[in-house]
Amino acid sequence: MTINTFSQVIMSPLLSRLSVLACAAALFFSLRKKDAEGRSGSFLVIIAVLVVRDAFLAFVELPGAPYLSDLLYLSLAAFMVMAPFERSRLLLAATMAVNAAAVGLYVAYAYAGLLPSFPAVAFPLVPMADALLVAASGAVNASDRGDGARRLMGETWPVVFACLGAYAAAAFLLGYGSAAFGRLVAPASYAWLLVVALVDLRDHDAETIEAISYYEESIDSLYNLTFRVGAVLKGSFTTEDVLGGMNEVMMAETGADGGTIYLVDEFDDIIVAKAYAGAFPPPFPLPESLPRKQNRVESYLKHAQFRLGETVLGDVAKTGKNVYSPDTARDPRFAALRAEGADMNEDFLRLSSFMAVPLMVEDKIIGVSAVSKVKPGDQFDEAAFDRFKLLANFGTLAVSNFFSFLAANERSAIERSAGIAAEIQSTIIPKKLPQFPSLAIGAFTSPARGVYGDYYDVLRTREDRVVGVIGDVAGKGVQAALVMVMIRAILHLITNTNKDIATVLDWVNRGITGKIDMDHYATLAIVALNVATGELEYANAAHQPLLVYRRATDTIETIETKSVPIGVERANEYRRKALRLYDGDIAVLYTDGIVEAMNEQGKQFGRKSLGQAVARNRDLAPKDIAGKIRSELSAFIGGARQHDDQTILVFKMKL
Amino acid sequence: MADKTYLSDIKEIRVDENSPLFDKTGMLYKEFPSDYRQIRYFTLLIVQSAPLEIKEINLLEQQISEVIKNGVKHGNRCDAAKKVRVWYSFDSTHAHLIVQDEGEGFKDLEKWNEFNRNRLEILSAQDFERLSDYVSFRTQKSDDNDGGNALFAALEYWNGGFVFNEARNAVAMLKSFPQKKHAIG
Repeated sequence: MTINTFSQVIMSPLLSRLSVLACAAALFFSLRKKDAEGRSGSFLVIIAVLVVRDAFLAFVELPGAPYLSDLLYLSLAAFMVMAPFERSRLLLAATMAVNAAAVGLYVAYAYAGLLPSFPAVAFPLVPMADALLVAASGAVNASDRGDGARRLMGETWPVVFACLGAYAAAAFLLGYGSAAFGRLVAPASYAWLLVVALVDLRDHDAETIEAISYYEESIDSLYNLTFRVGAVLKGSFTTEDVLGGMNEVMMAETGADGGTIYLVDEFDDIIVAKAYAGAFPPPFPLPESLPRKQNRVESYLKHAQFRLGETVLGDVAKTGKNVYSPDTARDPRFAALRAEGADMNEDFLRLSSFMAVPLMVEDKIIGVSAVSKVKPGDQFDEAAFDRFKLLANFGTLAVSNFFSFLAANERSAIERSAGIAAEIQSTIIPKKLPQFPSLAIGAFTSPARGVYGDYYDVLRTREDRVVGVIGDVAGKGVQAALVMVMIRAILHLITNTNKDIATVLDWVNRGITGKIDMDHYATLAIVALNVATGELEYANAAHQPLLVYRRATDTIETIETKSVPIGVERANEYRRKALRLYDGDIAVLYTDGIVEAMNEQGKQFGRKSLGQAVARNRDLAPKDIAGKIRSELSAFIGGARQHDDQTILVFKMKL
Repeated sequence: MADKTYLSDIKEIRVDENSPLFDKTGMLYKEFPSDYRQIRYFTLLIVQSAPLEIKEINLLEQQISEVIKNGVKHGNRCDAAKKVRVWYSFDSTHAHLIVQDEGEGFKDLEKWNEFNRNRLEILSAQDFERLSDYVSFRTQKSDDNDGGNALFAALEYWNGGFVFNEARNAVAMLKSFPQKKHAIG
């Protein structure tokens, strides 16, 4: 019936067909949001074809058009059912060829008037054949549920077959023009689209629910891992404990019987066993010389190390590729293991299922985690492998954080120890130097990072006697600072004596040498000055010579004595030298760090430069002379690193 | 034989005045009297400029002590008037040292290399009967404490080279500290 008036629209079968198609289209539109594979789009194309076809035919009467458009419709439907399956490729091609041939023959027969003798009854058989081919494809692939599209078609093909078959049969038996076909069979047959859409909707929901439960379980196991590794950190800071905890979580979450973790060595291209637990048979051939005894093999595996690329574990560490071997007996990668034959008779050497994954931080491989199942026939499933990979990713993150923490801890221990030494040094050097009308004293000290071995002190032992000390403890850090504290304590106890100043050095030396079980050495120079007369006593334990600037002659004298440092020879007797300072004379004690200070050209500052600096600044107060020398020194060094403490102690007579 | 290739890698003491290891640019310098009692002290003075980050600092100290000891004892024959001069530089990746004495030089250097080669060959052949002849390296001037064993260890330790000058009274050496290849954190 062709539509000419509005009332004919109401009466025509078009509305019922379009409403079924509209429902199906609505369903596929809503599916499109969930559908990553784009199937809904293909179904919408079929629906669009049907809508256009039905609307067109309702208004325009064209002989043969219903039949030809049906061939297109059925081809598209057959394509949807068959295309997802590899095995239906031939069937699909045959279907398309039959339909194309039918179109060609029909056009030649009905429009061109060729082939007058062709049996016209064959034409309606083609749509029915299409329906049967759909059924054939469905039946052949009934067990193939490999992906979403296959699962959908596997479930719905009987409905598709029934609808298309009924449609084709009714078209043949009742004819396109019949009311029963147009109003009842055709719209009802479109219902397969609704069914497919609904089943697809249900499948998507099931997938979502499955994914949610997968993520819930994953989050649970990650929680366990984090909790476990965190709990380990409360009690221990060793790599082995942290990795041991991680290994056990890996085993528990994958249902493994045993597991092991190897780390790539920091310096060499090897991996080293760090954790080993449970029943973990060797996944590689053992060295021939190793006795096949359970305790020997386990002990070997607990301490094993391999080059990168060596054994299945070394290979994972080198390539970063996972190994998933649910059934090692069928896996060619484990053929060498089976070749050992006799070994496999031992229970503790029997490996039935095996997985190994790299532990990676960004793209850097830091180790390997491997788990095993040993009961015959016991296998890791895909889900366990997924979980294993996930845990390896997150576990590595936790472990690498732990390593960062260790490194930071080590750095801060070094800094802390250096800080303590610096504090001891700065505590024991005098805050304020005594000054007299006839004698002025100045000093500066500048520690080098991490060394802190220089010491100076000024003690007033009598009304008219001042003792100045300068020293340099060999070594550095807290140990050197402790020696410095001991020397200072002894000096403060004994310096107030009538004995000469060399005796003071002897006593210090005896107090320090061989007293505690640690080698410690220091150079020490002492001057004792009579404030009233300028008489000076000098004794030296291998320290830099005393410099004396003579104002009267404008010259530098170097006062030197041969001696050994404090701490070398307990019975050593130090010698004393006596001299006298006159008005304007300057005596300077200093440490190695001053004269051996090096500039960027590798030149040392030297004693000569020091003497010249003193002479140049002879008219200044000792405090300012020290300050001038400090700035000259720092100008000399320039950009070079200060490698040793620098200390200077200056006395100037004003008689 | 696999052992042969190993033997071709035997380290030996080299004599090469022009070795870059003798370039003193930028090195710190100290000199000491040849006082055997003070060797530990001198060593401490040198090592104290090594950065805190160097691990196994005790091993470094021990090796430096041995070379200074060689200079004091075998070079200067403990003559306190003669000096041992040391150039040194350290950072977290290397230790570079030149030690020079005022002695007549290491005359038996070739003999020592020969001895070392024989010893290692005997060791790799596991010939324990002959090995007893190669327990220690001795010359007419050796005393009971000498055995050349410090040199065996030194050759192993100074992995960047252990080279004498033509006069054989100065030796330059370099140790490269292993750097982390795979470190994280």
